[in-house]
Amino acid sequence: MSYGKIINPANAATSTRILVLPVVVWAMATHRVVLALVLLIYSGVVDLVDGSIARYFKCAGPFGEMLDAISDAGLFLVTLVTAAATGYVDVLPVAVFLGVGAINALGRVIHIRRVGRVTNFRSYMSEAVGGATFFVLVGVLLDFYAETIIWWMAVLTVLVVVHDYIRILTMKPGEEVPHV
Amino acid sequence: MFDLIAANHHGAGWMTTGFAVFLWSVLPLMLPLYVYRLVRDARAFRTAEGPARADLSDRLFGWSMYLVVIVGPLFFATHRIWTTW
Repeated sequence: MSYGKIINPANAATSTRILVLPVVVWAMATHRVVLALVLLIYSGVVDLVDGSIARYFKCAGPFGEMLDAISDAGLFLVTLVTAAATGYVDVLPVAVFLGVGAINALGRVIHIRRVGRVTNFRSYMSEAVGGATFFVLVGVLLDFYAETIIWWMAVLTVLVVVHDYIRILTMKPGEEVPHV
Repeated sequence: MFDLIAANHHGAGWMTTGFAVFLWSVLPLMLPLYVYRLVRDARAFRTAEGPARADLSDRLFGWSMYLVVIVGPLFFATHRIWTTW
């Protein structure tokens, strides 16, 4: 059986991550922390398996990748902003962290415009910080050193920004980086 | 005695302590992987040249960052478990 580029099992699974976002906001705002936690874990698990679903049903494509990125960013932004707005964590560290994250994302745009492709520079540092964000969200929900962890994530993201901007701005257009 | 109801934001500190125990049961398994990668790529970096050296440099920064984001939460998890004991 063949599936469309937009309506397929992988995108159906990924889109449920966006659908649960309003429920996450409601659960956090009403301090139903177990429900918010369950939805957060659900979103994390779907994020882990949606790529495998796409490969199993042979329906991987750019739309799915974009939907996945939007779901990741949506979960991250919505959870952190809701946490700051409803008193789980101070506004200042969240604002600094999101601001530095936006500068990091801008680096990707600069890279694409300068060098042409996003795939010829892989930021392992950024992947490390990105991989930790899910646990940061859980930590915020559970009051696990929430402010301290977010401040630390902001500092680590500054290091990522400095490293990646130096790499991006010193790469030559069309330069290939071998993945040894 | 383990204080399972030590207060947190939601009055359910057992979840925070449980999260600390969860981190201590998962993160130590990941730690050796990144130490191995760091040592392996540091050795390769010494003899690499050109774009390969740049890529290895990216990897070394990345593995170092992984170690930081593993060791940091382990420290907090230890503190949480220690202070609720």
